Amino acid sequence: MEEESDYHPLPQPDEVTIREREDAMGAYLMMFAAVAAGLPLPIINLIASIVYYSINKSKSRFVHFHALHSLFAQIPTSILNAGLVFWTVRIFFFHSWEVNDYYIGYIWMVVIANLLYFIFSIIAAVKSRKGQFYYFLFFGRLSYQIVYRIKDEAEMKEAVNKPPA
Amino acid sequence: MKWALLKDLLKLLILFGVIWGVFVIFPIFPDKSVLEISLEKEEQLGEIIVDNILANTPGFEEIHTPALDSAIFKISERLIGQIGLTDYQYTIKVIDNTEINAFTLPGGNIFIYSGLLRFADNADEVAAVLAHEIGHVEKRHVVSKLIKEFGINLIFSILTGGDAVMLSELGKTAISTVFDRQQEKEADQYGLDLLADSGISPKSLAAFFRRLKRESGSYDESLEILMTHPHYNSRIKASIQYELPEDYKEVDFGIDWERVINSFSTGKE
Repeated sequence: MEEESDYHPLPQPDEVTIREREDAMGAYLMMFAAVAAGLPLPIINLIASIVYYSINKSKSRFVHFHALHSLFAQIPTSILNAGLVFWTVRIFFFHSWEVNDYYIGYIWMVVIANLLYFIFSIIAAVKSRKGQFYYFLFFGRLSYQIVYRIKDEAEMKEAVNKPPA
Repeated sequence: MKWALLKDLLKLLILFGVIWGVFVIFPIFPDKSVLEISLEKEEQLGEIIVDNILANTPGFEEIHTPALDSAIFKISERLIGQIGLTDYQYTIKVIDNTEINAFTLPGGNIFIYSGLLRFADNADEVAAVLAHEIGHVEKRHVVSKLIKEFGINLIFSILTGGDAVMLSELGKTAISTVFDRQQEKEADQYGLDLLADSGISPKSLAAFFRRLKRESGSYDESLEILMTHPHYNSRIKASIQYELPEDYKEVDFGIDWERVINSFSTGKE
């Protein structure tokens, strides 16, 4: 069984610096620029989020969490968008597949997935700017697990401040 | 925590699976509105449009000669007999017009201009054009086009006795035969399959288009994408490359085409 002590304590809003808040918010807002530039090549968005994550992961856990959270949330929409591009190209350029109900249903699913991604990313950006946490379904828990879980004894020892002897 | 993660993942997958499933079962797509018009309604619509065109279009007259009627009957019977189960009662009319054209109206009404019959070298080429038009009928392209242009409400208002101006507009659009590229391709494919099933060489379509191309001059290849119809070249290619089934056996119509043409051309040319 896991306990709360297995995780680093979460910083409260007043403990998060302005710089950290802005870096965390940037992880979500940067995605919008990447989405705009990347269409219709969804892979560009993914590359952009990986780059942003690599730059920011060594900063505070708060920034690390939000960068990873945003990157993870980017993956399913990127895959869905790539799937749509692939499917569409097969239909309209190679004529090997045809427009059917599965394709139409898939388009709607991709539209809804992207809308949800945009809406929740904006909420997450606003929350992170306020120094708060916001958890997407699945990806929030996963990011918290990766970033805040204490990995070994050494890390635990390192994290504990002691008064002078 | 791992279980909670798995549960979250499952929720996510179910959520998007359900969204996809719902839109597959209840598709929201303009073309699907064609389903809102039943076949009976389509036949009724076809009847109204045909009556209107025949009554109000000057010079739009049917041609009948024993040789012509017999030839058209032979060709259409062969093709329609191979369609299999069809909901349409086909009516094929030949119109006295020098244009090289054929078009389809709702409800299985196909019109061929006498100009096209004169341009064709033999009955097989006319069968190739007819097979293509049958493709438009069976795929319900005309109704789909009319719904796209006029909206479902106007179609229903015409069915319930809408105004004459709109009906005339509807007829003009139905005749203009500008199907989108995908629809033309579908009709071509359907037509080629039907020709092969009927013992008529799909290459007849290529022969027809080759001559049509020669007559109308060649186009810049780059224009193809801009055209609503597939370019002659791609249609010729598709017809030549069509793979015939192993049991294919060509059956000649035994129609003296020159005699058919002479039967209605005397004194006209």
